[in-house]
Amino acid sequence: MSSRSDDNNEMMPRPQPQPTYDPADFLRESGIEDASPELLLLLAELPRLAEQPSRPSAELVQLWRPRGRRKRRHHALVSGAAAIVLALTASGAAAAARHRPTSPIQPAPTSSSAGPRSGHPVRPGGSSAALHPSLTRTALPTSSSDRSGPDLGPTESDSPKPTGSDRSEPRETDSPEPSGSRHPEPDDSPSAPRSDGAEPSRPAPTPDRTSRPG
Amino acid sequence: MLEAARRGNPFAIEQLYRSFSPGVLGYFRARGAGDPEASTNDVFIAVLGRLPQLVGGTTGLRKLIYTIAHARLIDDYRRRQRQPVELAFTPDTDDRTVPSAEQDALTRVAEQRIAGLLARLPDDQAEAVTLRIVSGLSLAQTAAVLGRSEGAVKQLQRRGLLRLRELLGAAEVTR
Repeated sequence: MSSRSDDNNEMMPRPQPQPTYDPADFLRESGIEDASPELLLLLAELPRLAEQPSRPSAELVQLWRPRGRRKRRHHALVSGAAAIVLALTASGAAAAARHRPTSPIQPAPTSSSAGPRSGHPVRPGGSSAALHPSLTRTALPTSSSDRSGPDLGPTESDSPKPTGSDRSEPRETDSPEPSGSRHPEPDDSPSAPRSDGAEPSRPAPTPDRTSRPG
Repeated sequence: MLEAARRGNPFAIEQLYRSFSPGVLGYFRARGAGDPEASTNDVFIAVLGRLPQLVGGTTGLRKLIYTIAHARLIDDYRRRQRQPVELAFTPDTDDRTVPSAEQDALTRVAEQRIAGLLARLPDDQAEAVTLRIVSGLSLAQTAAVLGRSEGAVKQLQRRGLLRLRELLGAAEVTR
């Protein structure tokens, strides 16, 4: 007999007791060579009696289920709580990410990714068009550049102003062009004519050496 | 798996039941037990109570299961000799399902025919044939359950098969 550890490592038998059972082999093993077809049929039918019972009795199930039920309930509670925490964390992070405003110093890569600032109406069609209004006011800023809303007071770095009335006046920062770019001034062009009509300064012409007397 | 079942792991115990119960049920059916499913449940109730003291691994477990099954079958025979079979049936609590009436009838006919043939064998021969073919036990395992040598089991098996061949031939002639 093999050792206990070897036996414990054995695979459990499959539900069908003899999946490779061959009646002819069994008869040969028993020393019967001339088997009738009826006997072969009977031996083929016999293993079919071994089928899965309809279900274990309640008494039998009680023997192995009590501890399992408690474990399953405990696991269900833990996994449910974990799912709630994960959902809350994910929704909070998503809301904060959507709500983070763009600063003039670091503009957002695309206009659609920039969320609405508080005080502005949510533009329909934008990325935060479906955002609930309450969510747009709950996210807290993470840095001074993230401050939004008039409650904190405007600062120099907060321009453009978040109020809607200020939008009526054009500002430099409202220009679609980058703040560092300027239209070229006429004076900047070296070849542009002066406003007084004088010719632009040119280097003095050198005297023609061929016309030198003598 | 067996070690986990010994420690009381519910999943392992359920797997153990699902692995071994078909062979036990087939054994009771082939041997003409009064209520094969109830007897199968009784066997596993007894087995689960003895799991912590089990030695011999899967081989020992198989021997234990069929030793108990054999004892339960003898109890069933004796009980039915003493009194008629009385099965309590409460339709409200019985949630078992069957494929169909026709399939059930065919299965029962085949089961009764096989059980009737095996019942005409001497008990030790029928036991050897059933444990070997229906329950799938090896010669050594059958010998351990029956308390015989492997050679003796092989002889019982051979005589049982020859007797079955005679019975089937006689049935074919009289048909």
